[in-house]
Amino acid sequence: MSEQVRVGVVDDHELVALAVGGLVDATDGLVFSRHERTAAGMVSRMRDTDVVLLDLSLRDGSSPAENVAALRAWGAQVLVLTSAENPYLVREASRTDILGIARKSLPGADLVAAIAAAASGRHVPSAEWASALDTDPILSSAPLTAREREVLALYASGMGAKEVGARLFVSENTVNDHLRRIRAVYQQLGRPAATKVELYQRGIEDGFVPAPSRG
Amino acid sequence: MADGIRPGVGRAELAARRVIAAGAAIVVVLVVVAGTMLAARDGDRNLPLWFIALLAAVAGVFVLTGLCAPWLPPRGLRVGSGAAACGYLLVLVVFVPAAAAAPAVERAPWALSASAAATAAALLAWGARAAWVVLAASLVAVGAFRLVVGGLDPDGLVNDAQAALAATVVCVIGAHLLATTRALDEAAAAAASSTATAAAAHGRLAARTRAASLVHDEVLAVLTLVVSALPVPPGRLAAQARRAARAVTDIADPVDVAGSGTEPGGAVLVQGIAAVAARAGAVLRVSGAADPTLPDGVAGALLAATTQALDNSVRHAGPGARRIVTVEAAASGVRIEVADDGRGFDPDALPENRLGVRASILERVRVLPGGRAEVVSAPGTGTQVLLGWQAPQAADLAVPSVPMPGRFDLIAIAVVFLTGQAVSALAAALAGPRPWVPPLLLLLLSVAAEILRRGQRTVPSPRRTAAFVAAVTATVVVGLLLQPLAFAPAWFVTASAFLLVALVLRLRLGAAVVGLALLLTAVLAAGILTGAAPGTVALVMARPALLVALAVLLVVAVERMRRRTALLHRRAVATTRRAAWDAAAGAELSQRAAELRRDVLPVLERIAAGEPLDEQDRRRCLAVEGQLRDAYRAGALRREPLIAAIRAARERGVDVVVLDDSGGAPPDAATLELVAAWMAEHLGEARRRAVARLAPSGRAEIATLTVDGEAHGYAAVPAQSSSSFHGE
Repeated sequence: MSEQVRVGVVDDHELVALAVGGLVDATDGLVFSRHERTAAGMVSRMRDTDVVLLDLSLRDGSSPAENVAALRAWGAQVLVLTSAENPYLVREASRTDILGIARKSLPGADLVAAIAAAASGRHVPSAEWASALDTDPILSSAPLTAREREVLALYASGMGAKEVGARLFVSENTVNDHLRRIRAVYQQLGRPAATKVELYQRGIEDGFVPAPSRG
Repeated sequence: MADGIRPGVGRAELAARRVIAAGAAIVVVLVVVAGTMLAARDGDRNLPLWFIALLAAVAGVFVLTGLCAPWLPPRGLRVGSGAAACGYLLVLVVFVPAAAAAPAVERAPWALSASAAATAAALLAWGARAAWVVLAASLVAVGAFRLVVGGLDPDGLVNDAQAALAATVVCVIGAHLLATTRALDEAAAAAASSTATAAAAHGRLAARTRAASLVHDEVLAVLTLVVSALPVPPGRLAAQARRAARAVTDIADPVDVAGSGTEPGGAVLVQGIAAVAARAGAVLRVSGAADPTLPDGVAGALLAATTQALDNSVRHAGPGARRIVTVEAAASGVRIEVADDGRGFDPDALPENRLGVRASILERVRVLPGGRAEVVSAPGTGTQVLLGWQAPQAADLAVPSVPMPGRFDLIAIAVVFLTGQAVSALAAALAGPRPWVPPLLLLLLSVAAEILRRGQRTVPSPRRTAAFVAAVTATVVVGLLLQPLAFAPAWFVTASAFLLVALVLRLRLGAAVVGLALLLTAVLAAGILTGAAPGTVALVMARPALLVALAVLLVVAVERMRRRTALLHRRAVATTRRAAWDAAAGAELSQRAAELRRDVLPVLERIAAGEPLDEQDRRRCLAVEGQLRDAYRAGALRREPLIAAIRAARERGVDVVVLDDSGGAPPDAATLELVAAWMAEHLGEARRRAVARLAPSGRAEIATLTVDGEAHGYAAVPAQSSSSFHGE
């Protein structure tokens, strides 16, 4: 595509936006548009951004689900950037309409690759994402095929699409199709959770938060 | 009187008091109606007008107090009841001049036998002892009047016996009810206060939790920026590092974060005990967690009690006694034992006012929710003081049930019941045409009572209940067939109603009401068939109906209160559970804060100082950043030699992701050790990227390690022992 993709950042830390902005501007085909501390702030103006890099936990207490919903309704694609969040937040984000989840501490080239993939509308799966899904207690009730479950498990073990394809004797495209469908199924499972408190409770429900030890 | 003005009357007790006052008013109304009817029948209207007016005034006080009871405050209720009881006593006294002034009076007026209402009023105004006094005064006075003025006939005897029985029941059940409702109120207040305390603690912990996650955020913002190749102006990075460093320093000292500067935690307790033990020359043994999680007030109370126990031992154990202080701490509680091999004493012989042991040691700890305190000692065997606190569990907050009155009270009722019924039976035998019938009825009544008494459970079984109601109904039917329908000969109807009251108190309300309906129907039918005067039929039916109805009213009121208290308890239990969760999360976070301080602060301070970072520094940051992530996700894989291998790989610049997905059911320790060693070995080959993962339980491979795109699996070793049964 000839036109440049506009990339915005929603993050508590201006510094992150500053760094990511520099990285985006230095990449061909991408241009940094705007930084906001909240999703609400981002969508309060006319849409000037194509892809939003959204921090998973914001200080305003908003949940990933509501932030993603607001940004998608605004018309932007969303790539979630995480630092080291609890897996239930990752799972919660997986159940929303996002392109993927990338870790901020990824090696620079990998981060740029993830942003570029998202800018071109491709999905960005990661081992952390697959791991959070692969251990989801409701996986057993999710309408996934045996092959899709296998792909998810292999992805969670840290393989990329190419390696998974080689292991299963299918093409990389087929693996990506599987991943797309897994993502779609999970987004349908998205349960409403309005606040961080609810998310915390959900985390307990889902067995992510460890039970107090009976020492 | 000591309990003349109690500081506060709770909701349940107030409701019970109002029901009793209303009941007394109803009794008075019925007595007045019956008395007026009887006076009309007997042509007994010779009492002086001023006495009639006094009777009316006293009855008015009773009725007014009862009518206004639902809106009266506790004090007003007490004043009204006191006035009514005084009025009744006044009537008893001035009846002497009234009778003297009217020589034509042949019987003591019926109004004098409203002793149950007077007893109830005295109970409400001054307590149980006063109620018994009023009851005794009424018995003596009415008995004397009957002897002197007249009326010592079967009707009078039966009436007085039943009235005395009703008053006894009022005394026992009423006093018991007030005590029970008071206990319910106290339980409700305790539950409410524990809910409030827990909620406060919850708020503090939630604040701390949020603060901790913000710190995490600040630190990670710095580290990720250092690690990544992102272009950041050094000055801005230094500023962010300063902010993160400040946050780390703050959170490692939870007092600042929680905002309550005076919270002595578990660590303070252990340190404090060590100090006082050293001062008292005691040996100190500490086991378990050094910093147990204790709510506000607990650490302080335990420390004060321990200090006092040691002081006591130093003062009283005698020269040469050895002292040992043992502290066992766990996440959810703490146990302290102060023991000496000195003189010892008999704790039971301890005077009530010995403040040292009782107030300073035992009570101080016992008042804590979840606190326990005990002194074990005997002359010559040394002394042990046991102190403990356990996070309150659901069991500690058990809802109090409504207990039955004590054994003594029940025996008192039984004796009065049997005596009263025997006297009534005798009177009825003298009055009736067939003298053998009343003893037979007495026997039948005893059989029915025995059926109920034999039941082991508080609430009798449906079969027992049915048998009991059948026996009571049969007694009434047999009696009505064989006895003439008049007040004294039909005494057994009221006696049966007393038995139904017993059924009500054992919570079979429906069956008791059915029994009452059968009983009243039988009386009504007998009245119609024999063509008895309607007034007589009504007189026979009034007292039974009143007795059962009042009992039902009382029990329903108490049951409602009990349910409300149960609800409060459930809420308190739920809050306590949530607080336990928060405590667990808080403990984990404070541990993490300490780790942050140890691992991250030096790096942050260097960045904050604006020191240029070389490649090695960057990689060290990468390692620390990874460590923070691992705290969330590495779980059982956080063990040596894997930790060292991961650190080494990260310092080489490898992006390492460690995931424990075993879902709280990790492989046994031996397998984990093998897995960790295997992973550590292969990590050495990594150059760019590695993902180490403990698979969810039940997969063919326990663990996987993907190094630079190449996957390795660690399959489960064929089970050679019971090790394959873990997690079930």
